[in-house]
Amino acid sequence: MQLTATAIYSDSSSADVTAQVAWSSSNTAVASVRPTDGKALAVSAGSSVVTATLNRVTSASTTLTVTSATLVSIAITPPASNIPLGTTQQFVAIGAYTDNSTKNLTTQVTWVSATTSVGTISNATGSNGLAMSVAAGSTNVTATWGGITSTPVTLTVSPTTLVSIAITPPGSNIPLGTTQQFVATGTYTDNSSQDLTTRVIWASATGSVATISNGAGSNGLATSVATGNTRVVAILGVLASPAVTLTVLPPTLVSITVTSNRPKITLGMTPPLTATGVYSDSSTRDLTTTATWMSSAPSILSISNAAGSQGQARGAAAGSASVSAALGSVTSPLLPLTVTVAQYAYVANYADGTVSQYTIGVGGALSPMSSATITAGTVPGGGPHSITVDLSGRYAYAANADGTVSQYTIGANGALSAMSPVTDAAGSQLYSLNVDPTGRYAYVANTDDSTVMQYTIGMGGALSAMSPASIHTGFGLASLAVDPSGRHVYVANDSDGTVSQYKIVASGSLSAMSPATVATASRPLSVAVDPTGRYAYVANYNATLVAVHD
Amino acid sequence: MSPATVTAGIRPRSVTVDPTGRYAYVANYGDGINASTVSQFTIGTDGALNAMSPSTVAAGIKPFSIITTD
Repeated sequence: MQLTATAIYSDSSSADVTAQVAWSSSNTAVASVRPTDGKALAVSAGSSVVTATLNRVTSASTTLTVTSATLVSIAITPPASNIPLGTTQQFVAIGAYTDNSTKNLTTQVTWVSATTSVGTISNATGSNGLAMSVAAGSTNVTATWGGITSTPVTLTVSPTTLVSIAITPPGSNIPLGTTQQFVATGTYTDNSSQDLTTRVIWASATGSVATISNGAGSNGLATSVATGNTRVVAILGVLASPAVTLTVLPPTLVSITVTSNRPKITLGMTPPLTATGVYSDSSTRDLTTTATWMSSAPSILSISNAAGSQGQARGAAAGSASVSAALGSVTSPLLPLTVTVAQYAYVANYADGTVSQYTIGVGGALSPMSSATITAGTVPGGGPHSITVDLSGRYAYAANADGTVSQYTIGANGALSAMSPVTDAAGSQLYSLNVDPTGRYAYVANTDDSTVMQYTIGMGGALSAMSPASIHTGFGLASLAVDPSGRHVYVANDSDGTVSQYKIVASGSLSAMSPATVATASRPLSVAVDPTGRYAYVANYNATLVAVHD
Repeated sequence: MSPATVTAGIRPRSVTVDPTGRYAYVANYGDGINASTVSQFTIGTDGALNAMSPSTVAAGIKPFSIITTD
């Protein structure tokens, strides 16, 4: 502030003596006056009495009152802010004063957010000026104090952004042959999380151990390839999850199946049973000697766990028992088996048109059943040439000289019960009937017609003619044989010295192979196939020799 | 083997071995005068046939073939 000193002289003249006077301030802590030009300098708030003296004349005093500096403006920093949803922004309010000083007024001002649906700002002690994002958008933030409001600053809240990706499960051990589904979860700036399994790119570090799918519908599905370790990551944009370890262990046993080559076990017989394990990688292993065998009724059917005879069953008494095999925590389904006291024998009696039926007792002796015979074919001259039992032991068939096939069910005691016979339209003499190993098809050698009649075996064992009902073979066929694998049929053609060969197609009917016939020695009467199905043997009546055909 | 042959009935026409391999049976076609029979044998450890007692059981007339069940 400019002070002026005016001198009034005795002649009433006056002069400006501001620069000549000696200025005096009673309180220089409040204000001082610069001697050279009379400018009063405010130092601090308060009062000071100022006088000017010249030539021992002192002026009247004047009181200078220094007031505090006043606020001119408020500025907010940062002047603009862009934050992802879920995060916060601390604003600072700086006051500018008349004395050019500044002061942090963050805790004094009143903070206001114009659009609180986007962001709010705190006036609470300890968090003044802290803006919280609410939703994507923009809001203006102002700070007001002492009647002065700052220029608004813009707070922009951008949509949430991904902070991290995590994979679950965080580590996994799986047996070879199995899969592991991984899930990728993203965590966002607003602490929300989202399943990103189908959006990330999955990668397996060691594809020779396990691969991982990025295919639609199977994203994140790891498939084991070999035992070992691999690391799995999920990547989205520039973010990658921490890797998790997938360990592929050796294959584990999934199931065991017990099989027997025959469902009926005759008392005293010791048929071997087989246990087959299926592993997680779909491989199979014979577990017969490593599994633990169990019988539901050891007094009926015992089963050995002794070294060297594991899985060997022994019929101990007539009845039914189920067997199973276990290894570790895996147990096979029960295999039901029947132990029969006796076997049965049947004789085809050509001349009296009957089948004799016997029980084979302990020691092997035949005993006629209470019904010693049952009718087959017709008399005179139409009786049975042969009788055949299917592999399941449930049905029997007699090939009769009157051109019929007598068909029977076999009861629990072995006795035959007649079904309606099947008649060949031609009425030719029938010599033999063969059932294929699956028990689904039957073939009859028809000598007079030089045909093979072919039948399907129904649920109850009854024969029904296939279409075509018969096929022509070589001339004067004498017998036929079904190979044990059930794939081929061979026919010995007595009159033309050949063997006809057929394939059994899906429906069971015979289809000629190429070549359709193979020459053999004179008068082939009988043909047989070895159990492996690789060799056939032919008995030649005139040549008194057996021909071997590979 | 010794003996090379064993006696069955008249005109043996069909022979079968039971699935256990312990017994053998022969259907004897016969001569139309005497009753037809089935001869029965045990099979020794050396494979030789030994007639059971009784050695035959009655069959029908002129049996063509014989089978045993599994």
